[in-house]
Amino acid sequence: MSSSRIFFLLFIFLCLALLETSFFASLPGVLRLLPITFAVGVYLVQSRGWWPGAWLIAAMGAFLDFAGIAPVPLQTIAYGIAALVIFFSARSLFSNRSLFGILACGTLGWIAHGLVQTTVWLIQNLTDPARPTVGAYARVFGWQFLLLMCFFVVLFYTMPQRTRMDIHR
Amino acid sequence: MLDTVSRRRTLRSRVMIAIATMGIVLLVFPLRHALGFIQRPFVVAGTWIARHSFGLFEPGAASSARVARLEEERMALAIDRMACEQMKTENQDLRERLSFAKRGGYEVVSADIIARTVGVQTSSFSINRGQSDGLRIGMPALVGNGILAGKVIEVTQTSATVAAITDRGTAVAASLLNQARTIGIISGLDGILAALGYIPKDQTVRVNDLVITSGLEDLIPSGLLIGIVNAVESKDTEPFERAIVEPLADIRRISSVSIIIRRIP
Repeated sequence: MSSSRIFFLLFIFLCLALLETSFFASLPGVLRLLPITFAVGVYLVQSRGWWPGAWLIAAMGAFLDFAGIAPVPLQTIAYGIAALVIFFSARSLFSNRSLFGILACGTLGWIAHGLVQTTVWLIQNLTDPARPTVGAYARVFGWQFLLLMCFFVVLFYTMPQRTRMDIHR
Repeated sequence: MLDTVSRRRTLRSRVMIAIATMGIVLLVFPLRHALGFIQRPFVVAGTWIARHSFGLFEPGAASSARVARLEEERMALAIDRMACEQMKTENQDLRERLSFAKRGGYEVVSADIIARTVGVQTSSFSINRGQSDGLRIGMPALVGNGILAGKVIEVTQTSATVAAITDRGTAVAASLLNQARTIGIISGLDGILAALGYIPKDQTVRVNDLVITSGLEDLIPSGLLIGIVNAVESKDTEPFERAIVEPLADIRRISSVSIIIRRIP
């Protein structure tokens, strides 16, 4: 990857990460739960075949841990594993660049991320004297998944063809 | 073959130059400080939308103007009551019209929120002030006229992370404004409410009692308003009861806080 591409990737990542943790996180209701960086990463990898997009997902975990605003610790690992799962599933499992492909690939990545995050969360709650509130945790996770799927549909149907060619260039 | 080798070398040198440039930029301008400058307008925009569309996303909520007016009234009443109670017990001449910092004799630093966590159980946010502004771990973050919003949990040179009072990981020494001045520890509950625990069963706790800081922590002075008791939970098998507290500071609708640095002697 050329240095200009590295800078481009870094620029895209910073824009998305800042948008997610500053703008979207300040919005009311469930809108603040939209994992926009994750969604764009999956879209670029699966639908556009732009493999460096997986780095966006992995870097988001590191950014959350670095900024100290991760809802559950060790997000670097959770997002890193999700990025790997998305990368390999987009290449070999859901390589068909259809709406079904992106939804399936995103679901698999989100499940991988969720499994790691939930494991960390459960371990963290083992030492918590108060009972862990599984309902609230599951609600957030479910809403994030739903928003993610909706965002995939929006991305899939609204992104113009020209951009797709630009990225491949 | 030679062409491939030279292309690889060019690529490697370009990557090295890119990394070195980024390294120099990050050394000259601390990353979090630079990011905070960019993030601030996003937080302000998001908070503005949240303030003006609150009723749309909360089931059964009133209009945003009505909510704002009622909240102002409630906050004013709570502050009035706290001031009266303190006057009675400590015989201090509190003057309502003075700002919190001047009234309490505190040196405060105002800070802007630059990022928030995404989740319900954890409610923390980053601010654009750090060690260089005198911030330390454990200092209280306030909103409005002396209402506790959270506690500093992480500090870097130019930024800090504040865990809100509703964060499950936060624990603050608090007391109730009842006759016995019952003390306990308040911690977050599901990111929306807080719970005042370790209340002995012989204490009388009533709904609508005010919760304030007890002053048992080094960096958090007593008398900072936290919230109002919404319900009291008691189990026969447990030696303590628990009060569910509705915090007065709603971090979803604020974009700046004040940090108490020290008390002016």
